[in-house]
Parts: sequence; structure tokens; C-alpha cells
Amino acid sequence: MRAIPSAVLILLCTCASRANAQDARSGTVPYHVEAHIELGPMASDFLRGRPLPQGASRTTMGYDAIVRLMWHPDHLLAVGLLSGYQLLVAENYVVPDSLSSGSVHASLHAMPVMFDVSMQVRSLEVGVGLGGYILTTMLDDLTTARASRFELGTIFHAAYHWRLQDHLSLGAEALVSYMAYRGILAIAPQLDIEYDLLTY
Amino acid sequence: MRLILALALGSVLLNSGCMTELLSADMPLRVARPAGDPIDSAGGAKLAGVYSVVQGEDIFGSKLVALWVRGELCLYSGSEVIFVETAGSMAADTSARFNGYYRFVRSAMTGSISLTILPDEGGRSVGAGLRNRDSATFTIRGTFDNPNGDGSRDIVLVRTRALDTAKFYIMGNCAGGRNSERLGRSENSLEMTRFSEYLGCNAVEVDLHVTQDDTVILMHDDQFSPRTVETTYILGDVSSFTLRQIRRNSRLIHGEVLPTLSEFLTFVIDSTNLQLVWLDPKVSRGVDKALEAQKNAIDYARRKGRSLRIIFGLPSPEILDAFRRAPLADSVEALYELLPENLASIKSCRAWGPRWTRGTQGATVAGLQNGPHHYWVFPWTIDSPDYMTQFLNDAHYDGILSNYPSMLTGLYYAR
Repeated sequence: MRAIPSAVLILLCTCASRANAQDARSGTVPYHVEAHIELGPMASDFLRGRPLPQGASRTTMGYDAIVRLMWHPDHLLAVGLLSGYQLLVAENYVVPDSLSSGSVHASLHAMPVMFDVSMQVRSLEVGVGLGGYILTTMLDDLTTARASRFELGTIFHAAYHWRLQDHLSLGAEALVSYMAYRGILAIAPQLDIEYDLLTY
Repeated sequence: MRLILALALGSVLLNSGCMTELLSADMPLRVARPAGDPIDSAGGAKLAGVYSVVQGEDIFGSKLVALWVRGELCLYSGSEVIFVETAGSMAADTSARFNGYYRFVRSAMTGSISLTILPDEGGRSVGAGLRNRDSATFTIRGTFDNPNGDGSRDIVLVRTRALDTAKFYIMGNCAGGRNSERLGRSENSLEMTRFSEYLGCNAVEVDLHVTQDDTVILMHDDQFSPRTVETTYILGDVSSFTLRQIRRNSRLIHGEVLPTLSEFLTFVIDSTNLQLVWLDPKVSRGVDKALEAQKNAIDYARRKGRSLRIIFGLPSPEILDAFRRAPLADSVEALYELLPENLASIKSCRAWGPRWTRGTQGATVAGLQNGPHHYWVFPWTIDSPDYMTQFLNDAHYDGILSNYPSMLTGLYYAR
């Protein structure tokens, strides 16, 4: 198992060197700095179930808003940063126990903080974000608790863009968030607004 | 595109590595007794001893140690972390029969094992219990699932000697074992504490944290995570949540309720035969509350006539400072984990707990044990069989803390 990270790194280095060699846009297209703003509903599946709260569905609904800032040189490849906000679940429930049967209001939020790599071929963009999530819980059970924790995770995204103006395009995107340590897989159909902040 | 695929594949592989600790070994939580009359404790206790492995040596090593633990026959290997738990009955022909499982603790490998002691090979003596105080030569025969293939294999054990009765504390970390050992019970839980005796422990170490409402609980990590609790909403700093919130919204990873220190100590006194508890505080907050629980438990044990030592660990200068300020600091026993030169300055210090990486330190250990304070010395946390053997042979420690108490049991008694 320990050999796997090393093997993955070697694989990545090999592929990166090949990616650098591509020249589909080289010399014909200027460099861009692009901003992506993405919004949409999100369905989350807790892959290992949710033992608590009792009787809770393992599938929950929320929404997400993602911001990506990408540096797009004269290659198909673009690199940048990805962050945003995701509401994984918010609910009210009752915990019947010997302490009391008071109701609880709770919600779970995630803020991805990732390095993003995407490939743009014509109007199609496919990418992956690597990094983690700052997971935040808000728990109102007699008193209110708020706590956060950083955990590793991944985002996969694929979009198709329609250019509206010189610097503005609109896209339909499918985004998949995977929080491996917690076993949460979230899928979000999104509207992706792309704006060229800088062209040089 | 190849880069994207490589990154996607890489992230899946790297992320999947995070989940391995959650997998459980396929071992039963209880062992079923074969049909027949129960074996009384006097008869079962005769089986305790060191056994030579006549058949099955390639799997279990050349020696196995047997202990009679709460009505069950448990076997411990020192060559690997192999642990066997069986429950037994007396058959009509006065043979003793046992069914159970073996477990390779460092992998998830488990299998069934069936053992028999024929009437003329000690079975009659086991059945006689206190009525017959002979020192029979026991031969245990049986079969076990072949861990390297299909079918079953034979095992034959011959008892060669009784156990060393000198006082030595075999201490299980995190109340007996960590979650990563996949023992079917959560670390720092009452269930793991109960199970620790079957693992060979006569002492346990537990980790202490403090909730937002100043309740001392058993928890190793500073943060709640899927490693320790199953929950949707309890995550992050332990000190962010009240005990009520934790209990109503989470369980330990094997479904147990997270215990408070007071509940744990009461359980140890009422429901186990453990002889020593090492309290290991992780934060300096709440030290006074922990000492209060420790003092109450000592008083309770004394009232019940229960022989139990509870020592409060002092692992850092911050916790030592908090300990010195606590009103009950002189009323409880403490264990200091830093430099031995400072031991004498802590009035209630009873023991020294050096990190094992400092080496065996034979002269220092002997000096502390034979000095005016007669300190106990417990090195922590030794998991390698080679280092266990070295520490057992090179210095006369009063006990050893390990994540593999079953292996320590096998090595200690088989010396």
C-alpha cells in the first residue's frame, strides 16, 4: 500500500511532462487569467450511511457555490485555485434519550481549498481539484456548537461552455465532490460563468 | 487529457488509503461454548502456563502462553501478534473441549480453532477443579483453519511449566488496543476495557480530554474524526462540544457510548480484575476534575476492598503545572514522563514513564526502583517483539505499555 503514492507520483510526473509538450494552442492564442463562478444544487451520498441521527437518510440535498481562478497559457492545460462553499446537509431532528427529547438543528458545510488542473478542448473543459475541505458543523442541541476540521478530498468537474461575449461565456457543468475520509460523495449540476479577467 | 486522468486516478488511490483503518477483522465478539457442563474457574485456572507447540509451530511459534480469563482459555504467542480466545465445556467422557478463534492482530487474518484435552491428558484434572489439586501434565490437541490455504490443520500443545507469578504490569494502550488493531471494540471504550483482560492485560492506559462543559472523557485525539466516532455532526475540536451534544449525536466507531472518566473508573472497579490504570491527560484543562474522579474512584475501590492502583500521567510541563495547582495533587498517585531528575520534586509521584526510544536505561531504572521512593518504571509504547524482548531482559521494569498486549503476554511469560 505504501508503494501506491510513489507510483502515483511517478505516473503524474510522466503525464505532466507529456502534457507540457502539447502545442494545440501554442503560438496562436494569448495567455488568459480566467475566473469561474459556479452555482447549483447538490445531492450528497454518505457512502457508509448515517448511523446518527437515527433513521437519517444517507442521501441529502444542499447546494454549492464554487469559485475557480485559472491561469490558462497557450496550452490546453490550465492551472489554478478552487474554493467556495458547499452545504452538505441541514436538518432538524429529535433525539429521544434519557437526557431529554429536545429537538436538534444541525448542519454540515464544506469549503474546498484545492489546486485545480483543467483541460480545455474547444468548448469542453474537464478538470480535477486536489486538496481538501474545511468541514464545518453547526449543532444546536440545547447550546450551540460550531467546529471545523480539515480533511483531504477531491473534486472532478466537466463543463461545456457557450461564448456570450469576447470575455464572457456560460457553461453547464457537472461537479463531483469526494470527501474520502468521511465517505461523502456529492454530485452537483451547475451553471458555470466564465470571465476572462486578463488577456496578455 | 492524460494529465487529468492521471490526477483523477491518483486522487482516488490516495484518498482510498484513508479508509483502510475503518475496516474490521472478521472476528466474533463472543465465543460460543461447546455443549457440555461449564468448566469451573478452579479447573480452568490449572490450564494457565507455558506450552510447547508440538504441531503448528510454523504458525504459532515454538511456545504459547495460556491464561484462564473470566471463564475462557486464551492463548498468546510471542513470535507474532497471535491471540486465541476459546470458551470451553466438559464433555461426558471428562474431556475438556474448547471452541473459539485465532486472530493475527497485525493483519485482519482470523480463523476458527477447536481444542480438546482428553481425559488422560489433563481433561479429568480440569473437570475435577478444586477436588483435585494435582499438577497434571496437560496436552491440548485440536484443529484450526489453515491461514495459508483451504482446510484445517492440526495443533498440539504440551504444557511445560507454570507461569511466573512475579508482579508485572502488562498494560494495553487506549484501554487495551487502538482502533487500528481492528479488535471489534473502540479504543478508550468500556467494551475495550473489558476485552483488555482477554488480551492478557492486567493494566490499561486511557487518554483523557475535556468537553466544553468541563467533563473529563476518554478520547485520544484532539479532534473528533471518522477515526474515532461515527456521526454526521460531531467533528473538530473535542472542546467545542458538550457531553450532551457528543452523546446524543455520535457513537464510538463500533457503536459504543463515549465514556466519561468517572464511568470508566467505576466500570474498572465493578466489572474487571484490572490492577492498575494509567490516566494519560492530553490537555492541561480539567486536570482538577480528573483528579477528583481519580480520588473518588480510589475511595470507592477501597470501600469495596478492591485492589486497584490509579496513576495520573504527567506527560508535559503544562500538565505538570496544572497538576501542581490542583487541590488534590497530593492525594493521588502520579506518573511522570519527563526527566527522572525531577521525580523527587513531585510529592505524590509514584512512577516514571520513559519513552522507549531512550533505550533500556538499566542503571537509571534500578536506581529509581531501589532508591528511597521505590518508584515503579513503565516504558511506553513498545510494539516490536525485538524491543519487547530487549526491555524484558535488559532491565527489570515493573510493566510495559504496548499496543499489542497479547504479544507482550506471550513474550513475558514464555521467557
